[in-house]
Amino acid sequence: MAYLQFEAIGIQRIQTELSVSYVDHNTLQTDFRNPDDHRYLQSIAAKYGLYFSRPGNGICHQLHLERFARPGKTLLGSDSHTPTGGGVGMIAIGAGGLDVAAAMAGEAFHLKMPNVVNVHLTGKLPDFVSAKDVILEVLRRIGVKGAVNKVLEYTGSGIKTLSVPERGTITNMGTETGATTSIFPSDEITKEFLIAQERGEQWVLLEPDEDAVYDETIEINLSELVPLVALPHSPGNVKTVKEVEGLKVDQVCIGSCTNSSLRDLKISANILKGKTISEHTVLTVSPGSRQVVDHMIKSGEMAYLIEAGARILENACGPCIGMGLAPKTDAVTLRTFNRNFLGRSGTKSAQAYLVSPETAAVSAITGKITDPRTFGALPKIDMPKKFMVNDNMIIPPMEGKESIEIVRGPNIKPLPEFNPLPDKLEGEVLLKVEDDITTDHIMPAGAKILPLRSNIPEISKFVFNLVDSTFPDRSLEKQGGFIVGGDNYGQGSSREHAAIAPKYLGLKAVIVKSFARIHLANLVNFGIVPLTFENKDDYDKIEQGDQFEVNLTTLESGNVTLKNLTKGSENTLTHSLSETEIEVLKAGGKLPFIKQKHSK
Amino acid sequence: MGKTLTEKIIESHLVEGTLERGSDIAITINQTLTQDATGI
Repeated sequence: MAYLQFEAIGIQRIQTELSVSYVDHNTLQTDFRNPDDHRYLQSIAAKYGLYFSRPGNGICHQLHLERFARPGKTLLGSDSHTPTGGGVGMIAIGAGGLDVAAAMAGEAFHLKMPNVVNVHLTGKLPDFVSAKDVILEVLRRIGVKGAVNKVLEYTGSGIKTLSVPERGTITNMGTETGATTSIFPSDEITKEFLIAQERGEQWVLLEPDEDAVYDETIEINLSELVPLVALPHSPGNVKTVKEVEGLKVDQVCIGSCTNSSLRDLKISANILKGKTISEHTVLTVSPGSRQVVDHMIKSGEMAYLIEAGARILENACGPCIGMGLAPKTDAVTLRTFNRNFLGRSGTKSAQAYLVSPETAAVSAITGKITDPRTFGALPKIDMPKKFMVNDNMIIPPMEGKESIEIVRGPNIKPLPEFNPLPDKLEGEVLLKVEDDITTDHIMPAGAKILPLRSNIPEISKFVFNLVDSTFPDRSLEKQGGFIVGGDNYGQGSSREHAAIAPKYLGLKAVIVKSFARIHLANLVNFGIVPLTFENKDDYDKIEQGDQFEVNLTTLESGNVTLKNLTKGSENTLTHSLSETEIEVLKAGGKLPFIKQKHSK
Repeated sequence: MGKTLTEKIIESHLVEGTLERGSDIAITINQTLTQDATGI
């Protein structure tokens, strides 16, 4: 929703130093929707002053590291693997679309000050053990919730043995620990990388102070690491490759934003050189960027992959997000990716294992999970001193493009209008629900519904689909109303559509016993008033269809009065809103709130 | 007391709050990126 939201803010030009719009997820183009989206994004970039990376140019995080990531800067991205940029010493954080839209409009990003964890690396990785094994070791130690509200900061003599793309692999998959972000210093290795990318002038030395105080420390001796693997269906389910050696492999996938750098493809190609993949194993390679492919072709190493039997895919996310190349029924699929959640590959019965490129390449030859250290001597690879820089598939921002028309395909609809909050809310109880209503109840996902995310009128037809499929029609017919619910309303994912779509249907307020935190914030962001019963028993006195009147003039005092016109009763409602949140609500939501600020 | 790299970069972008752990802060953003699935 980032650009639909940015358009709604109504600013003429982005306010950041640099914003880039990448196309790497929806490139299958099985109908008009994907290419329509691409054209829309291209026209937005032209009009508002963004860089536009054209479809096929590569994977956003690999490209951003190569061409834009800059030491000491902050980066906010509407993708959870944005921390890849931490590989060059920047604070790079993943966030929701509205936060990214707000940042493009010049708004600051709000977060909790994280704890800082010192991941202290010593030693040097042995042959056939690589950066992927480092982050798998971190995951083995702390699990998938181990770094929530923390930053993983890498230090120690061991970091001097890791190149920037290797550091990027580690910060990329740091996301799987729940970390706010991960970061390496900007040192002479960063300088070398930036010079090789013709961006040497952007380098600055950035390191922690020698007496820096960390909240926690994790010690890892790289010399002691062995090849690791994350077993189905969690990146935190880490074992040594040795422990699962011998398991027959149906599919091997090399690539993704975690492991698609030139270094990763070179080592894979040189392992596969002169070999043929196992007859019962399919091998796919999705390179990270055109720069990577260009090098691989000119050095002749791409031929090693092709001759060994690899299926070379587009420079895009591809199989990592289930966009094509779904594995066979009950398959074991070995992937250099960062996630192995159930069904993510596109085949629900598939078992996905996450490994390094070394383990993937060796296992593709043997047809079973194989410790790559049994391969023999590690092939030597030569990394270029200078990368082949060619940005001709990145359209730079241009001045004076305000008159550009935004190209909207039939599936792309503008956001609904958000009006200021009236002093009094009136209407009927459209739906009364129980405890623990999730965002999946409110706004279901799935293959049928996801392509509608840029079309709020269409996606809103599925609101509460599994609870009461008549809700959308009734709500529109009555011009909106109220939802009454129990405890923990809105638990689950952070999806914004669980607020935007009900807002489109006219939802005015949600009155419940208690809210889940993120959904509460989303309701405020989209101008729906979140209220709670002062006395939880009042919930029992309400029936679906009751006519309500809520006087909001006393909102600042912390209480408002609910008149139930049907029952002839009055109840006190309360809330947990901050002063700013009340201002946001009164403006009609975060978008009009930001809009107002900018028009002043 | 010395600072971590994280603290240094956050501090140089801080517009609200302090480096006190767990407190609400706001930082300026220099760069943004989007991909097509969340960008639309």
